[in-house]
Amino acid sequence: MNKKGLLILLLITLFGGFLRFYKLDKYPIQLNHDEISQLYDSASIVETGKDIYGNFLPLAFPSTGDFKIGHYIYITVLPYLIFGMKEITIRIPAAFFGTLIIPAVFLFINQFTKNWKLALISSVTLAITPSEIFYSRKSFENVIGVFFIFLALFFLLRSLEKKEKKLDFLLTPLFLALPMYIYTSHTIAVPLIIMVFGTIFWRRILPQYKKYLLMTIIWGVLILPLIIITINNPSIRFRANSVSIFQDINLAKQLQLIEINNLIFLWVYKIKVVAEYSFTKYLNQFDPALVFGKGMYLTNQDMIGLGPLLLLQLPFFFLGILYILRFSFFDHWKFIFVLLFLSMVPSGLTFEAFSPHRSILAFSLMSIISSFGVFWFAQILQKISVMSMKLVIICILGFLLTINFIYSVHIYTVNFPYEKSQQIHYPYKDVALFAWANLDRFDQIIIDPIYGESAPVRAVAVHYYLAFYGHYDPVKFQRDLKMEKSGIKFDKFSVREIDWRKDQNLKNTLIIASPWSLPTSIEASKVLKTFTFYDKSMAFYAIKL
Amino acid sequence: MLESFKKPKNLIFSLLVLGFLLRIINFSFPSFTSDEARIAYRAFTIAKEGKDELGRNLPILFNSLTDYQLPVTSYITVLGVFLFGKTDLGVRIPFTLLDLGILYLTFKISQLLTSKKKFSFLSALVLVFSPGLIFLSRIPNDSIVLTFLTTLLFYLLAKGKPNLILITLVIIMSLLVSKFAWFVISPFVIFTLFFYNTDLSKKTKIKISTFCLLVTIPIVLFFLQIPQFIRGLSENNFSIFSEITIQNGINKLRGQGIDSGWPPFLEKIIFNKTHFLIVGLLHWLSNLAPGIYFGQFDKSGVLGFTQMGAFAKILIIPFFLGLVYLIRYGKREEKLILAFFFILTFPAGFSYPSNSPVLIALTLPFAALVIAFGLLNLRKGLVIGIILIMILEIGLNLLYLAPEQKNTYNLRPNWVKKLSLDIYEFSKSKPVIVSDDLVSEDIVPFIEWYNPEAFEANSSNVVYPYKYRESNIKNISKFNTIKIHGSEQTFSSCKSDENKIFLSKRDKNKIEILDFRIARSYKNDLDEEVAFLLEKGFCN
Repeated sequence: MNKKGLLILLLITLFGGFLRFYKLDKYPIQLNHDEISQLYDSASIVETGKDIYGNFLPLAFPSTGDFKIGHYIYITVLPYLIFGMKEITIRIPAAFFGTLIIPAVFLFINQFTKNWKLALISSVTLAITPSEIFYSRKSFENVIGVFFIFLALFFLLRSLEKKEKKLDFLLTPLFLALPMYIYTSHTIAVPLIIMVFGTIFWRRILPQYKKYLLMTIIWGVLILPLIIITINNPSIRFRANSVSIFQDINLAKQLQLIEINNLIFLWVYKIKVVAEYSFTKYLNQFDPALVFGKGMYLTNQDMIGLGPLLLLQLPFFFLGILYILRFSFFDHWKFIFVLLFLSMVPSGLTFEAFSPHRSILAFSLMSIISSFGVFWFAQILQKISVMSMKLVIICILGFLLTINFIYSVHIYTVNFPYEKSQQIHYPYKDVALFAWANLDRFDQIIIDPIYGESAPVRAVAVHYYLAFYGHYDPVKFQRDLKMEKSGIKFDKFSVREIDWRKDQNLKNTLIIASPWSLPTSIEASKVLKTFTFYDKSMAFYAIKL
Repeated sequence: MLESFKKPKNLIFSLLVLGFLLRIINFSFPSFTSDEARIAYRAFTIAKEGKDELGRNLPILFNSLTDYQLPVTSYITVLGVFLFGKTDLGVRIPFTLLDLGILYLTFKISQLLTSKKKFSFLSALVLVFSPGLIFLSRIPNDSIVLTFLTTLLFYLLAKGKPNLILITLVIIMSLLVSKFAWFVISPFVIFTLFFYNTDLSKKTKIKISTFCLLVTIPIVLFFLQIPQFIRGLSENNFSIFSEITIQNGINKLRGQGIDSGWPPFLEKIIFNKTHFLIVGLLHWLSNLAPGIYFGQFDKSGVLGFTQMGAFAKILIIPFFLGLVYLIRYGKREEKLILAFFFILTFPAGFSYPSNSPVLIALTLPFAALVIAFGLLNLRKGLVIGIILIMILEIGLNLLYLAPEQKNTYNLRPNWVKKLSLDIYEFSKSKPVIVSDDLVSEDIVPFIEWYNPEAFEANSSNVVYPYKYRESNIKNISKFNTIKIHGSEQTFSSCKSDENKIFLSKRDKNKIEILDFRIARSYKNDLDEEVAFLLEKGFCN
């Protein structure tokens, strides 16, 4: 690649970085429960070496009861040291690595196809893919894992060449091991990728088998701690079990029916049923309506939503498949398809019908395949001799791309907050700020964890919102925090369900409660403030007692 | 012995026998849905006295719970019932035979495509073990009839000199099976003629194509004259346009943009009626997704088991290999097989949000050909392995039917047979009242089908009533009426012993405050008490 190409790659990366960093603290409009807990736990780790519950450098953080794998929290330590206790701090690692995926994809595709123009198109396509942007703008470790996987793929492919660099035998296993630590889906996908790589490229591997043996041993040593931790740490296993396919209600019912029937060779049928559920779930991840239409679930309007890929990528995705199959000018074209199929495997093993957050690697690969379609289309376009026709086609495509991109920006910045503000625990930030502003006026402040627009749900990170927006010292927080059956307490705050029959008799108390926990009529003079969801529907009343 | 199997005739005969055996194992499974029981009972009354369940003489349009029903499927069922009487066998056997016809035709079509015997064998074998087809071959349904007719049509049009009379007959019959056929038959015929038949002159091809269009138009126009038919078309075949969620979604998201200060003209550019087109397109492609062919064929559960694909799951491997082969190395006419997936299913885009397994079923013979191409390119050992896994999957499906019967207790109630017989028996001595929610759909067709005799129709004043439910039937032996008790009606306590009452849980809860005794209770397939026969003392 020449200097011009490098400059273009730099510009694409900068453009991708702009899309990922621009107003990072404003969109999404509020830190959600995962982000706020990760951020405050990061602060707690930096300040005390412990999480908010006093666990010393835990691998899995109890956090909001979901035992988060701690890598993102530890990665955030560095931005925390640079930027301090700011909302943006927690989003920086994902945005940073999300931006770096762009050149990483370039390296991978350039190495794979030996065509830097195609690699550039892949990078630019990835830069504007909705799922890439969305998951790079929230604290999400999968993005970091995807970056390392693309880097690992680049090194793996380069290792096949004789001109490889000396450090490659060390870097390749390192980059293959890192994503396995970072995100559980990658723990499943990476070994499969290695196996497939070995199967597809065995002819080229065989002459240098000693090198690959060494790399495999290094990789095995690097992932050994992960294996030991997974076996010995129940918190990590809890996390994996809580999202496994066995949590699927329909599957559980079906297994129950099998038990009732007391069939012979029951276990055979059970295995079949579980395998079928998993397989169907896996296949459903490829549903075009989900991938190109609504799979990001940013709205409540079913098909009027946003998919992980732009709608305009749909025709190019199919063109890309055709192009790879018909004119594969690079060796081992199968590898990219097998990578795609493997990267969706983890989603088939979980309970959710469609889990885009587990499939970012697959969406990146789909995006890359669509860029092959763009590349082919550009070649066809070049062959058109009538300049005016060429211009018309380019203008039409340019117009459609602009509209599609504006549409995705609209859905993300405008409709997503309106439609899903409850999901990001809106307006607990305002509630926390208000509570702190009125702390001195009351003996105690009770905050309701039950809230919701159409049905009551339980907020799990209210204490984190209070601690973060009150700039509460983590040392003090660890000391003061009391997790009781009745609720969570620290300082003057109490996060618990409201029992209005009793609570209405409290004195000098501020109660911030949702309509779900209150009688239909509240004396207006007692209401200090109301809080609404983003769409202005009522969320909380602040009641002075 | 082995040599004789290599002859195509012996080969296809063996496959047909195997297919037939697989289709008649546990032949009473699955139990009928309400609409299937209605078709079954209708076939019985037509075979017996030439009238349908509503007392109409050989009508050309029938009633169902969700739509009108075109006539061919019902009259095909009549043939079976005519031969085998009012039995499950009589209702199911015509569809089993049609399915075997699909196997045979696919075998013949594969011979047109390539001379490789192995290819023909594999394509038919894949269909022999297709869980989707096995299921469809056991119930009265439009899908299998239309699939048979389109496969036959393809064969007739693609092979050398076509039999014009037979083609005409098949086209007309197809148009009278399902409304979907109105949209797919003409493009299907035109495409097949112009891309698969090299023997015919262009003039003849144009003639047949024009004829097909000319036959379609009057048939469509004829049915459109029937009151409510356009409504049925709009609600069932073009539901996307009456689907309020799309328009609401457009308005809502646009409103949020305007609220947030985005320019209204830009909002109109972003959110407008083109979304109907986009939703339709994505919905269509969604119908063609691999999850439908190899995951869950019919998401509504009517046309398949839980997690049952149209093909055995393992066949996804040769399917993809077949696709790769066709795209990379396929001959022109082989490659064009892929076009049929789109031609035969495009109306699915208009049926949003429902899936259209009827249309997907049409593509199964073509999918079998793709799978066969894939298998052809695999090593022998792998092919044997895949076939063994395929057989294992179907074997397990057919072996473990009990959980599936429980799974479908609501949609395909097996337990309702005993209840229906009791209702019939009691109707001989007294009028019977039956709650209308004993099953999730209409109870009347079950009562009519699961007893030895016919009932007197409670005919509607309208010639072709739309989504009509019978509420009052009488045994033709002049027994007492059976009245269906709706949720809006009430019971009152009375001293007379005039009625026999079969209550659902809903109605039992209604009369809980009154004094009553339960003479008998009925359990559903999940062993839950769901129906109750009262001793006496109630009127309605």
